[in-house]
Amino acid sequence: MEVVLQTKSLTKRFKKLVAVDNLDLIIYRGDVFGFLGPNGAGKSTTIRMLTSLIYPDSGEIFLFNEKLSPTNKNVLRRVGAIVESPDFYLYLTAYKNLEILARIYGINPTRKQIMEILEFVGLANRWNSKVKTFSHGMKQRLGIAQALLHNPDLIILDEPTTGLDPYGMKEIRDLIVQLAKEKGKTVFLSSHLLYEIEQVANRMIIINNGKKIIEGNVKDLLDTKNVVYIFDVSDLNKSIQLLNEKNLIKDVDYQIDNNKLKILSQKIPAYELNKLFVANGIDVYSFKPQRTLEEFFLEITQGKKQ
Amino acid sequence: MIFTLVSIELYKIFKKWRTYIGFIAFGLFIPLMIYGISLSGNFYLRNLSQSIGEDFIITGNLLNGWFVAFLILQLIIVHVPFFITLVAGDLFAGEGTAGTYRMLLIRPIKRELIVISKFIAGFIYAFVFILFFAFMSLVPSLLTLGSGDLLIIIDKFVLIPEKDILWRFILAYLSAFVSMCVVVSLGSLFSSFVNNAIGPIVGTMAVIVIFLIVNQLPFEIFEKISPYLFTKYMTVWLEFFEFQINWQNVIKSILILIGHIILFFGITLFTFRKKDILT
Repeated sequence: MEVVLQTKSLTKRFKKLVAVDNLDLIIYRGDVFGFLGPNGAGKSTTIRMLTSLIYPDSGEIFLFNEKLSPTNKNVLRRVGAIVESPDFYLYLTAYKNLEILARIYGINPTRKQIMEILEFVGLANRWNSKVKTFSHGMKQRLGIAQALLHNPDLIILDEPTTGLDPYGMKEIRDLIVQLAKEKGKTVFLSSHLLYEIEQVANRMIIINNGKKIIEGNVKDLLDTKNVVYIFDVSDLNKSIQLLNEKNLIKDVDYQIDNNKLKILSQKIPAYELNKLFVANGIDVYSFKPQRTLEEFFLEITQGKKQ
Repeated sequence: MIFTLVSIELYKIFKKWRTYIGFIAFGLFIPLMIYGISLSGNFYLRNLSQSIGEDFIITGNLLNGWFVAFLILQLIIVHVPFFITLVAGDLFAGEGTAGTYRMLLIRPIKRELIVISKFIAGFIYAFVFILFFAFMSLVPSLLTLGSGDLLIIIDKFVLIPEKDILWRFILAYLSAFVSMCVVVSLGSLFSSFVNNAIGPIVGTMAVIVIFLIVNQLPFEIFEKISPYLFTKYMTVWLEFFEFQINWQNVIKSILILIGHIILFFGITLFTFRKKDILT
């Protein structure tokens, strides 16, 4: 598989703060790669390095097997990006903004090309409006338009759904899926929302404090087998005693959290455990699944895990 | 590519409201100034020439368009730089404020080209502004007050014959343009450090005003410092209104001004190449 983007030991410091710490990434052609982490994890700093807005203190970036450096930015010709919120020249129209940004790529887009891209992002009817009259969602869509205008192979989107209403979020997610499936683009999608990545990405990485925490296929990482069940029972001690008596402790991992029993078991289904508790006089008020990665991600986003 | 970038920069400059503040201000003020001088200029001239009246007989139309244009030219020292700075201070910082650095610098173009294009666009703006200033000073004055010899009264009296005036004005405006390029360069330098245009505008004007004050103060310490301040050479245009032009002084001043442009440009280039875009 062709490697589209690779970083080797990428590191960026801001005085004493290590924003990105020895980060290794690898993205293949056709990937929709989820770049996940809580706010302040180092996602935007990484993206700024990938797009040459800031330069790493150490480490290397390869785009399409070509090293990116201050003296060699030519490879960015194959990259389209939105870094954080898409900001435009507010005093210019959507059309003129796209025309200017395309010309900086060295292409002179025809009116038809610009209108097609505006059509694709649903802004064709506002082509002649000044960007200062646009809503946040419209700017996001215009941001995607400018990222696509030069027909790049890799599209880097930094939290593209931030600040959008649920409808707008869905629109952008659909657009990303469309880009990958219909236009065959490789997409690097940064987000702090696990469910967003789950919906569109095939591979993902979670970073926190600038370091890689976990990486892999979304399917594997969010495997439904890796589910913790949270049981709210009438008698916690009796429940644990029961698991001991039935010799089930070997097969289940458990812990007590917030007066609830958290059970991770790949061998015994939750409904069997439910039956067992009820049959032994333990009332089960509720039990609900929580995936381990989701739990893990919630912990790091809520600052419980460093 | 540089042509494209410069044209884009110029497009952005001339699409901004602030670009026209100077044009509007001078477009309104200069005709007013001409009208005022035409009303009371004779009284002013009589007072000034009283001291030489006993030694010389002055004939002809001295309150003419050239005389008024020369008076208006004094605005080059502080007022014109202010309006130039309004634009120059925004060249880089404006991108930071708007967040458009992110759109601009993720493109596959070297930052050096961005800096060069912004400087060139700034110089072109300064040129257009000086051209407008020259037009507004000369054309209405000459049309309303007519032509004649040019009497200059600063620290001495100089009378320049009518046939010898126009080229002096042209050279004066051209040298003023070089001075304004220093202002553009300084404003751009400050602008490249920050993400808000107010700082660079105030900073550039503060430097110019303080340097001009130092240039004027008749104390030994300031007189020693004065030759090292670029503002001393920004008045090079005055040389062209000496009866005998000191070309050595003119060339020296122009070279020093160009040196400052190169210096400010070099620092901007060096720092901007490494600047982390965090806006």
